[in-house]
Amino acid sequence: MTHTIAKPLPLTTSQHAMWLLHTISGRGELFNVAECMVFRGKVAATTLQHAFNHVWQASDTLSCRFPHDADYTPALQPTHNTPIIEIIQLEHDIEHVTDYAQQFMAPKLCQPFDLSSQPLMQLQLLRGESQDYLMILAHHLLLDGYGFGLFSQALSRSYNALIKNKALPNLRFSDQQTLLDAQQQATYLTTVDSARQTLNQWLDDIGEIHSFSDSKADVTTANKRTSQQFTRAQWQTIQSAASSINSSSSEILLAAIATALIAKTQHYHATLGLLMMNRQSMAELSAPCVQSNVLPLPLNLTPDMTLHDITVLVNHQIKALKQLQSYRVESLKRDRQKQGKSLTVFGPTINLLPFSSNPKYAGIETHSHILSAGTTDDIMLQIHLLGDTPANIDFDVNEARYQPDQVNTIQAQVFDIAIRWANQPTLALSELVKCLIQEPKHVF
Amino acid sequence: MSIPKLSHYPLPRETQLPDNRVDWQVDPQRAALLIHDMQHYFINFYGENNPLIDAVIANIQALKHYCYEHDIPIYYTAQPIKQGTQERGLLRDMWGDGLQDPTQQPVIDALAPTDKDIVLTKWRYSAFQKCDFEERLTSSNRDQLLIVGIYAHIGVMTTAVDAFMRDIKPFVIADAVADFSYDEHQMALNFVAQRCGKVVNTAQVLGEATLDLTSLDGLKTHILPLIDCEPDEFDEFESLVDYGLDSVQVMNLIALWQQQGIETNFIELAQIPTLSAWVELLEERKDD
Repeated sequence: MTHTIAKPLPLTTSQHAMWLLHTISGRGELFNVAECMVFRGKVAATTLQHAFNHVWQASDTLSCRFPHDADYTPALQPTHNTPIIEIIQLEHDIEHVTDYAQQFMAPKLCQPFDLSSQPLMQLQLLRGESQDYLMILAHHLLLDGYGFGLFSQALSRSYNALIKNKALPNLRFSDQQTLLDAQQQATYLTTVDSARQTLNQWLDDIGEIHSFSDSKADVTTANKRTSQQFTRAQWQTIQSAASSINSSSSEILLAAIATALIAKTQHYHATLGLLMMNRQSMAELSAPCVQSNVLPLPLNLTPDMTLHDITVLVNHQIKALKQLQSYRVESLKRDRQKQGKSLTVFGPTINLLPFSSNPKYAGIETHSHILSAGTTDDIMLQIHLLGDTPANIDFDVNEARYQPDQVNTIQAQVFDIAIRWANQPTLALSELVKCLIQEPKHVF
Repeated sequence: MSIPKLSHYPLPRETQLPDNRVDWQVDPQRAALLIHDMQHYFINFYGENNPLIDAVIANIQALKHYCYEHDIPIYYTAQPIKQGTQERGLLRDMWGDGLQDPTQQPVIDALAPTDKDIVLTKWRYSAFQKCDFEERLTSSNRDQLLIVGIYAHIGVMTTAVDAFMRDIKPFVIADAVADFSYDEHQMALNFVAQRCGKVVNTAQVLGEATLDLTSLDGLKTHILPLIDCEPDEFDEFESLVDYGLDSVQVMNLIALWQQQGIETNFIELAQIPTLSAWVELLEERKDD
């Protein structure tokens, strides 16, 4: 039963954008996200529920629903609707967790949430012989990657406090009104307006924007994921190269992706879409909500550029983009539409995910598998940065635009370029592109 | 059968050095430096502009300078060209004919021996084999050997074992040796530290302080270049997010702290995004 406990509040621009996508697409399930947390031992289920109740009730951005009025104006309605963690007994521990979890969650990922009445998270605790598994399904309107990290950390802190018979932690989450107030400040609004102008100018300065596929597809077409992880030796070489050219491993990966795109299009320009955290103020950094944004990262390259030159450019452009991250991509697309310009504002989308943490639950280690992080109408590379552990890249593609062999080629080329360039950082971009064209499917 | 083409990898940082079983201290009065097999032939397997070899060479140069200043004798090993079957022995079965081209035989220019230095002919993995190296050390009252060069898990490690068995204390300089791979490099360091010698880094030998990335000053030195900020413009109580520190840079710091056994994560750091709060958190975690 749902109790209304406070007056409805307007949505933030990010929440509103997600609400619109859900509502207009008619395929709300596409915005479901899912994660499986593996406990390397057994947890106390009742304590986990108590901990979850505490976290859920600590912020109205979690404990809420999103009804709309007759004019389709949505609101955030705080509630007391804490979901109950469903317990499912298994006969054995799960052998292949990712496969099992994907299969287990597949039917749930196909079911849209009812935004106006349901809590936007569902949890199942699968109890194996010696391990437990927490399956979490949420709507992207509720949480983004950072928000999920906040939630996950708060859950383990609360569980650990309960197990130790300590007071539950004061989670100090920002609430919806604080977020709205922060985003109504004059300085914030000035920043957004300035970002609007700069981003439109950036796009005006770019000719055509390319991706790995020339065809078009709707965001509602199913996505398919393939994943690949660098070997330890490969990753060490990339780290070493990053250190020697005073750059970072992620900048090398972005340079590799841009190069793979250039090899495909033969244009020495790449505009990648970069997922931005879009949290600057303390209020935003403490809110378990959706806030992330995806914006164009234009890279004007020249054939003589080396790995160092490109990583410097990537670094410079990301710094510039950080100043613009509050302007929503949906608003940018609307601007382009009004001006009669192309709605394609970037090519392949890149999501750098440094939020991974594996909190312990009363000493029990955990490991998380991200099963679904959203949807794309093109291609999205989810780069899991794991410190010294080799990075893993998920290639999520829209099946209407990419055949499996195309994805394999893109995947092989991105890895090939990153490794080849890390081994020879002084190689010019044009030489590398030439090698790729001559050996299109070369894989290290 | 020959040596494979070699990639580069990050040299171990101080926090990644293995625990030593012995607490020997380098004594300039008793030490000698051995620069092991830094010949064109062996270096060439790393290719041109290899960051690993560039860093190792820079560290060996610094150590050479230190040795000259402290009157520590410097020895080199260099394998001869075109060894006959008898001379090369079982090395032929393992590695083929080895060095054939006379232009590849000399020590690389950046580390070229001077008249003061002694170049030993290298016949086997250990620098002590088939030469008078031990006698030379004994006659000059040297019973400590600082070993640098390539390859860590072959000649360097074997020479360290051989020195140990001759009651000469080997010190392997972790960031002044290179290997086929990070894992083999680390394996050699672990073996030496646990079984036959002491593993140190260049800064420790030179007596230089390394950056403490858990202290306010150490972190400032690390972070200020990342955010393009001058020290007098930086306030440790201001949000690092406002200064432009990004999530990937934060992750790199987390990995460095992890190597010191300090567990943090991005989310908790992002919620207290000032340098002052981070130092406080790190102090707490050190005590955990």
